[in-house]
Amino acid sequence: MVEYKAPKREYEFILREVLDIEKELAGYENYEEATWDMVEMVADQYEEIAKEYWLSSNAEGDIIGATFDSGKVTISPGMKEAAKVVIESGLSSLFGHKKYGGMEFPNVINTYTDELCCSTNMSLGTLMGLTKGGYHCLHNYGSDELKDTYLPKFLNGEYFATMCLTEAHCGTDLGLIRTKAVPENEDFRISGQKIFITAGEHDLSDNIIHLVLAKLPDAPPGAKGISLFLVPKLLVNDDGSLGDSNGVACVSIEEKMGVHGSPTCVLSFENSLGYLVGEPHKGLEAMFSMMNTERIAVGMQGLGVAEISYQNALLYAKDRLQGRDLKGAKKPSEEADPLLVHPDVRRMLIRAKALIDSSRMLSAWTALAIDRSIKDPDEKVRKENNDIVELMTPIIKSILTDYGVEISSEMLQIFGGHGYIREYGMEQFYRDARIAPIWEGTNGIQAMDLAGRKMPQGMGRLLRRFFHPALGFIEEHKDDENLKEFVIPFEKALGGLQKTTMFMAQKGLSNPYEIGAAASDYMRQFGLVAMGYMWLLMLKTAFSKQGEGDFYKNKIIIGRFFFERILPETLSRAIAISTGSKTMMSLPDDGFDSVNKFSGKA
Amino acid sequence: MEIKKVAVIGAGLMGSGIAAQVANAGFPVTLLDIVPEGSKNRNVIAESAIGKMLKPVKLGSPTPLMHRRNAKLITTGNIEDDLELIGDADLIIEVVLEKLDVKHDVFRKIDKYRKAGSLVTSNTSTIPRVQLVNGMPKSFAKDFIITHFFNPPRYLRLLEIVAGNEVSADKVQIISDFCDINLGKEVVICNDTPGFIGNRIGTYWTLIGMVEALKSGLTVEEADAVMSRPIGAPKTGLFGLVDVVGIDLIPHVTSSMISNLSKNDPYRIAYAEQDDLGLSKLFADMVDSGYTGRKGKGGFYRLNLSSGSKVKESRDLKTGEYSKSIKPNYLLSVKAAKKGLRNLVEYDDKGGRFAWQVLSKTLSYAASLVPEITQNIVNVDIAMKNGFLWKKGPFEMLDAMGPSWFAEKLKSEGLAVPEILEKVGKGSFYSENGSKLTYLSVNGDYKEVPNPEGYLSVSDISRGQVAVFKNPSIKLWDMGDHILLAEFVSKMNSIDPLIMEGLSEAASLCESGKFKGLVIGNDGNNFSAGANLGLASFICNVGAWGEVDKFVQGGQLTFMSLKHGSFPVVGASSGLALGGGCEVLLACDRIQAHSESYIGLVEVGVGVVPAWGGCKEMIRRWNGDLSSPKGPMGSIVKIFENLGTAKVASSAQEARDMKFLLDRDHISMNRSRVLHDAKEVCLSLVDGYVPPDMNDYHLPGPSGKAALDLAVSDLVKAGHATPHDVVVTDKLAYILTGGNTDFLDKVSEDKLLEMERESFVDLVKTEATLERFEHMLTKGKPLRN
Repeated sequence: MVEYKAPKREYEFILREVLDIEKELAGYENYEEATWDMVEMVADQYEEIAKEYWLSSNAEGDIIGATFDSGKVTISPGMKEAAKVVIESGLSSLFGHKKYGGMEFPNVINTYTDELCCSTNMSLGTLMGLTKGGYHCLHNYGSDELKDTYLPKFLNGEYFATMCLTEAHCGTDLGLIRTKAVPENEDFRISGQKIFITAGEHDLSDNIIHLVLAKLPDAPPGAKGISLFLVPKLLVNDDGSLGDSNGVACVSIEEKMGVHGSPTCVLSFENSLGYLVGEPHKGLEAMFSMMNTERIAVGMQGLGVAEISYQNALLYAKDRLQGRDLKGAKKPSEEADPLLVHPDVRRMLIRAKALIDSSRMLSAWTALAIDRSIKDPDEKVRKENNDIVELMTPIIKSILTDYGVEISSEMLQIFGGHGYIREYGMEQFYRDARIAPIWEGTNGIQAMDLAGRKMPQGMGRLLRRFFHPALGFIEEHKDDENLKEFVIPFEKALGGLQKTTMFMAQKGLSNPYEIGAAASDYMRQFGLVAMGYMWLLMLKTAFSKQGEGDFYKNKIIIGRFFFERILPETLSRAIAISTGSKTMMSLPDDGFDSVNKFSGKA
Repeated sequence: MEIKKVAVIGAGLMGSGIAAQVANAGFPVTLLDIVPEGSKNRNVIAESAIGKMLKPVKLGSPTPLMHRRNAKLITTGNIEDDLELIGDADLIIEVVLEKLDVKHDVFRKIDKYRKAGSLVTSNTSTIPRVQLVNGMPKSFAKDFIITHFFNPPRYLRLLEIVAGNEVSADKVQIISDFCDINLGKEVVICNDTPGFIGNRIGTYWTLIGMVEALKSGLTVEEADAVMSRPIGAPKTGLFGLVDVVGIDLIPHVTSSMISNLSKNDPYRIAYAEQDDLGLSKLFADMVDSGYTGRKGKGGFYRLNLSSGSKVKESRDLKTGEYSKSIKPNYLLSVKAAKKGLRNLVEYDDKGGRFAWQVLSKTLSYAASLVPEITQNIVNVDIAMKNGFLWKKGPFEMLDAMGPSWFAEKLKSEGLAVPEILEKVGKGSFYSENGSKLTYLSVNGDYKEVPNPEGYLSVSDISRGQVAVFKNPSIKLWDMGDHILLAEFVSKMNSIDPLIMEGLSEAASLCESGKFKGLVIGNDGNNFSAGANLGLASFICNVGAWGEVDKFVQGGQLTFMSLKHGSFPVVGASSGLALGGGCEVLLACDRIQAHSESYIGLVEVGVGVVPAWGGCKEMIRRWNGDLSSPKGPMGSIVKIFENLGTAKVASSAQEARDMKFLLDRDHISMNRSRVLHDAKEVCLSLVDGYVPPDMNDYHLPGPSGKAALDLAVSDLVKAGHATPHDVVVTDKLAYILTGGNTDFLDKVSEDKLLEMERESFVDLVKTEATLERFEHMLTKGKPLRN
């Protein structure tokens, strides 16, 4: 039986004590209601629903899955109930603007709810998360008429949204899409087929609103010729009632490795009425306007699954008796000591904890930057924070999902054979987590985004938003008795990152392969250094309160593990990058072959 | 005979431009024009021409005169009252209307007043010399030569000379040398045929280009997108060039050309074709409605200001309507051209087909004209490169595509193959033979490309040679006579750690005695645009302050090793020498500057101070000036003004005022002579060379800084200085006044360098400076924050 408790104290520490969001967000328009009391209330209520309904339907969703029958998709009954409860509680509209009936909670607080959703039921989390993405996209680029019609319905759960990008022949390279949009009067007729559409069809809502990428007849070739359209499954009448069906059909759903509770659909559009969102040929821009929040949300999938895997592995390690402590029995009265006495088990757990804590901190830190980038009255502050978000988005998406897979795998490992069987639920976490490094732009693409786009942007301006504050922290604390133990290795790791960045900036100018060859290692190096910075921020608070309880003392120990055992991995990445692209590019294409013939020679 | 004094008859655009260039060369010149009917001031034309020589065509662009002072060399007058002024002129240049009778009238007047043995030249562009001397006395014809300048005479380097048989070789040489060495021109000797070389081929190219564009229904933007950078022509393109020349002028030029050409000349065929296509009428209509080109309401392009902002619009060739210009990014042939000319003409889209139509005709035509218009192919290439600013001449373009491929393609399309193209066969028009560059002569054998005595380029030096040292940013070459050449090869010749590495290597090679002196120069358009700001931007953005310090201090040490090493260093400057590029020059013992050198310490514009010894060197240079009336503070104020406003000298002559050049430094008028002249200077310094000492200076200290601060605060009040200007100039003032020195103490050069470093590092840590970096790198102009 899977257990779960919301990491409320962890959030309280990060949001309230480290980031001081009460002070930071004070005075931002429409955030007044999000007082800490309110946050606690919502957090409790959310936890209750997550445990009671979401978690309890997680295994069921995995086993029964979403089912397809002649065009109709049915969500498993428990999950359907869970969706209904959260919508009726009003908590699914936390993120929405007040104007459209939402509660307008700060992004930084939404990290908590996102994590809970993905911990307790990742399938349902993604099903419902897409509506959030659709909401933001339409809010940023849609006409007032579209916004007034659809946004309130997204928030009250009557309509769900999807994002329709991928086609059978193109995923990452969207410039190749073939779905067509033909102008008709003021609107358009959309025809084509989309695949891998999460929540493309289901029975959770009255209507489904598809945001579809398609090409107009006069579109220039490539990614610059893509437009975005809103295509409802059922047409909406002027009075708001639902009208005729709009030629959108679910052809089939995919069999897949995990997230079985969430249907992955093949959708066909046949002369479906569509409304242009944003400007013609600028669909990618509109679609990507919500990418930052979406990609961070996917990062939270990795974090959420890592957290629940960790919690269960820890319970198991404390409970399961196997072998004796190397220095003598801890529980002489029992047949054996609990797993937790073994250094290697402790290593796995503390590593997971150290990564989870800093991942959470990184998400919250970036989410706070999103809030500032939207709400701060000073344009300069908004811009600088937007730079942080631009820079950190690919890192969060990639690092958190990679660690989601790694941690769910290691936590499963603690169970031994019991992790591999269905009973304890650990194998589901592992399977569910595996999609996160793939969707919303594979982690390889994230690495290219970081190294190829974010790094050169503004001739390195985005980098400054991270490096300068980090250097400032070092400068300010290098003589701090408590912190210098951490500041010194951090300074070294940051120096390594400076070197690789300069190396790539210089080499990449003349040889683009250098960027491609270095990107993934650079991503990991940067991610770990960013996590190191997050640990420094947390440790500073922890030291200042270390007399106030074990929570802080324990944080310091976990942080120390990070600096001793995890941050040094940046060095190997730096060494790898410095060797350049030459070797991997020099192997001829058929040199990759696994050779199938005997040579006949001695 | 030596030319010491010049007269120019005709003070129109070309005449005054030529007179200005003569004055730029330091010669007294008389400028005469007619007396306009009813004018009170009988010299009004020539006098107002001088006014225009000092005014930039548009704000910020350079003027025909390289220095205001040069105007004093020009004497004005009119041809009714003042012809006796030409009596002591050694050279008289006629630049009047392109009408034979008008010219003959002027020639007779000149002949009456000129001194015996003086030379007379005409700047005609299309009238054959035979017609010009027809009816003139033999004595006149013996002294008469055509010198055809290109507009604007200060900048366009081509000069075509046509001399008849009756003119002695000596006289031709005197004129050639004067135009080459003194006026800085690339002199080409042409035969007496219509339009000589440049206009014969260049105007044929525009004519056939317009014809083919019309035939294949291209828009003006499409045609210009192809007939510009992709073929190595200036970015104005075809129609853009016609706008610049003038819609009214083009028909004159073409009709004048065909009147002197044989019936079956391709030029006449193209002319007939354009008439059939309605181009003649189009031009007439445009002129009638005031669309005479850039000087009028516009031409094929116009700027529409009606919306409050400048909107570039293009003319529809069929309807005559103007609409917003669309950059034809969809022409994939234009992108293909980056991989070579042949990729362009073989690309199967309308751009590629158009390129082939125009180039096949233009290049065949050019090939068919040797030796009719000039004795060799080299002259043709020089003419097109210097007169029309093509990157490659016609024969170099043919070599780039493969002459035999080109000939085969002509044949396959049933077109005639010019004789010389048959002769070249599978070979190429140019070929390298060891260190020699040879060309295919009309006899079919290869001859060495002639180089006038005193011409030198890096490509001459490096041909067939292995670099003494090289890295991706710099190459060191053996110039001969134990002189080493440092050539920057980085993008825009920007200065980065690799350049510093190469310069240090050059210093050790000279210290070791392997070489006795160093010349720093290159063949590029610019000496150096400054430090590699992109790299600096990354280093600063990631906060690698140690690297910043290394870059700055490393540069200082390198420049010190050049300046105080035991060998002479000569900087051969041309084009831009900005920021760090300027500091390289300041570290040299001598500067040999091309007249078109634009030197300045512009660091303040990007939010920093000169820190490779620029501040120190300026103090050193101004401190040596005892003539300064206001004592040391006076000099500091001047330096502060120049550096604080990032002022760039608009010519080498102006650079003297700012003391980037000193009296000991020399100017070469001809770009092609700069390296040779620099080497000569370097050789002259080798014997008994004593490196300069390190100095120390009395500087005004805090009280002087207070005065500069006050001046800045006045600028702020007047709205001329921004908040960050105040921060940056505060550092500059601090360095220039010697920091916390007392006037009685002396400040060492080491101390000045240390202050440069500290100030630089402080500034790059500010957000506002890094914003300036980014703005300059991404927008190409300084940010005023």
